[in-house]
Amino acid sequence: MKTMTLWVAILCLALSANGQSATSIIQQYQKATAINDLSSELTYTNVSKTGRTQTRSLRQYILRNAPGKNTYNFLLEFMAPQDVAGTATLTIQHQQRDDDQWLYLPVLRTSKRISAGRKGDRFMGTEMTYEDLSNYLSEPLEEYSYQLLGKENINGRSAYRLSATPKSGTKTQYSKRTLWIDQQTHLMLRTDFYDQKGKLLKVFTAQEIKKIAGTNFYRAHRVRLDNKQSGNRTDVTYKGFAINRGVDKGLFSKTYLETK
Amino acid sequence: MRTYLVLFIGSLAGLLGGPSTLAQSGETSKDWTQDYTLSVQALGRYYWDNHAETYAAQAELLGNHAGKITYRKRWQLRYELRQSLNADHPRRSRIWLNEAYLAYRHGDLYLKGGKQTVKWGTLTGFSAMDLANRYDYYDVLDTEEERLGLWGLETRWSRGLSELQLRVLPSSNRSRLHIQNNRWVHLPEAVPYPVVPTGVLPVAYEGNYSNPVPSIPQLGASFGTELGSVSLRANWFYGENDMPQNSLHLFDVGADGGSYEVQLDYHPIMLSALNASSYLGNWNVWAEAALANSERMVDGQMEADDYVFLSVGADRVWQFEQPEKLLKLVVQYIHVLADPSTPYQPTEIDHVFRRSLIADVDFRLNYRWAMSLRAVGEFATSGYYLQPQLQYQPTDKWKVQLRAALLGGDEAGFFGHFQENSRAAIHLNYYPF
Repeated sequence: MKTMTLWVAILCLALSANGQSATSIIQQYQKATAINDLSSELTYTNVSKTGRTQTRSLRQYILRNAPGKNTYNFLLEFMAPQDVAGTATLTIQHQQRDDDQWLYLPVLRTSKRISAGRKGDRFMGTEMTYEDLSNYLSEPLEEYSYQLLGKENINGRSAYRLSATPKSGTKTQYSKRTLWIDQQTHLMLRTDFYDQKGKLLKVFTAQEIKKIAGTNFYRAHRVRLDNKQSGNRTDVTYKGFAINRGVDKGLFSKTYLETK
Repeated sequence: MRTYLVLFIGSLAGLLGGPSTLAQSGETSKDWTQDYTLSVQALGRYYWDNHAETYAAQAELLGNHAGKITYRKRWQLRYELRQSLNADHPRRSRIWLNEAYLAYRHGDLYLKGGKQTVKWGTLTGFSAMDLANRYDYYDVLDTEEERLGLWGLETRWSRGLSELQLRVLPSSNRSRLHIQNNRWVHLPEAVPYPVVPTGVLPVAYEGNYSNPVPSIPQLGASFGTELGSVSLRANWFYGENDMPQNSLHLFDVGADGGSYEVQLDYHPIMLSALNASSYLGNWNVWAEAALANSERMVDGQMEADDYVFLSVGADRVWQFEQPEKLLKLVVQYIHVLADPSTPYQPTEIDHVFRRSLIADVDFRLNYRWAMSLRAVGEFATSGYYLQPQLQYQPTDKWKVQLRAALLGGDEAGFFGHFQENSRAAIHLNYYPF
């Protein structure tokens, strides 16, 4: 019995760092990113491997569907450049079925229901996929096995390093993710995404982590997604974060989409 | 003309060098948001076939400045100031406020009053409801950029994913026609006249006038809802058909010739349409069944012109491994059921499509270069229309488009009748902010 207790203790030590287990770290990460509502402005630039760029500026509004649910409504309004300004998408996530999505194009002056992107499709031409976006809003804890790999320094910040491996039956485009979570703010500092062949596909890095005024939330104000296989990348900058300050539910309607 | 040029350049300079608070967009506080846009377009068109002996080339400078100020997502003030400068056609040189409206939303209710552009159709492709849209018809092919603002009221009431829309617009809201010196309007230079020995009388155009008709406001109602993954919408419009019936009125007739005016007769039109749209895999699919109740002139007499408009379409976007590449496709088939004995004239714009296949293909090669093709086949009159386009966008502020329009087919159809209006065009767009 003593031997068994010793082995359990050694195993627990191996799975923890400073008393933290992988599960508690990822739960803290989820808590740090869990919101009821959020609005901000963002600008993203897609940079091709040849150096050509495409820049878009948007406003985003996110509202949790219902308390306790990990599904969200989100509205994206394009502000610039002018030839896409006014374009908007409304997405209503569902837990048990495909998301609902509508697109508003100023030239059509009406919204149209569109097929919600497949998990692996790129979102708005960026290196971010619909799956990345969904996981970014709410890490699907029940679909992955997490393992603490140690601690590392990322861009001058102390971080826990974890692996996230999909459980059997989880539909994902990745065979594995390696996560670096900030010890101070519990935000994601870096994620390495591996394709189904186990080859490094993309690297997500977060910078300029600042506290949001009037809240206890921190947010990265600059993120970057590098596709290591294609050589393309997406840079995103955020400003004007407002978290849990109330977003009108009426914004997540087709009427608002067409009259905004 | 000089006055317009000074006003155009002056207002543009004022906007570019305007107050420092003028920004592309911004939030002055949590409550206020503001967005401003400015674009300038220089376009030239060249017609290689000039049998009509009108102009062989066109050149225009177009300016557009729009602003939107929103307070607490509840109040919104929007305006759009437009300017056009055309050295050859004075009627096109003008500055006008195309939109100026105030909107208010509260809960499920939305109200909008003032001058506003209205697109009556709610289909990804061409809808029968679009027959009620008001445009500046200086050019008949590039009308989408020429939608005119109309004074009126709009209200929407929504509940969940269902919505009811109502619109009321006064009768004075008409399209802008350019009858003289226009390649799309064939004004006769002689008319049959049995009294003179030759049987043909040379005539000169002296102007046009609208025949007074009872004032008909534009009324619109629309109800949309969602059934599972299917969007359904019923649309209804009643108002003036602003594609007028026309007739010639001769005067000052002598042995050597005479003069005439064109009388424009406006009559009511009622449009009722049912749209359905959904998706199958990555394809968006949609359909419309519509009924048009209108009138047209036959041998100088007005007769009922009722027809059924059926349409099905699909569209999708393809992404590629290389994210710069993008392919978009829109395909639509239109079938109009009308009295087969009705001899529609090729100049009746309401009846351009009878049995038509329309395809729009856009291919973005990379962030700088793109090409597109609009292809229309009109099977009832063996007509066709092709619009290939090459686009180069060196930066977000500049865009150059080289475009051609190729029309052909039987003279009895719109595209064959106007085949001499095949042309090449260049559009240079500048977006300062």
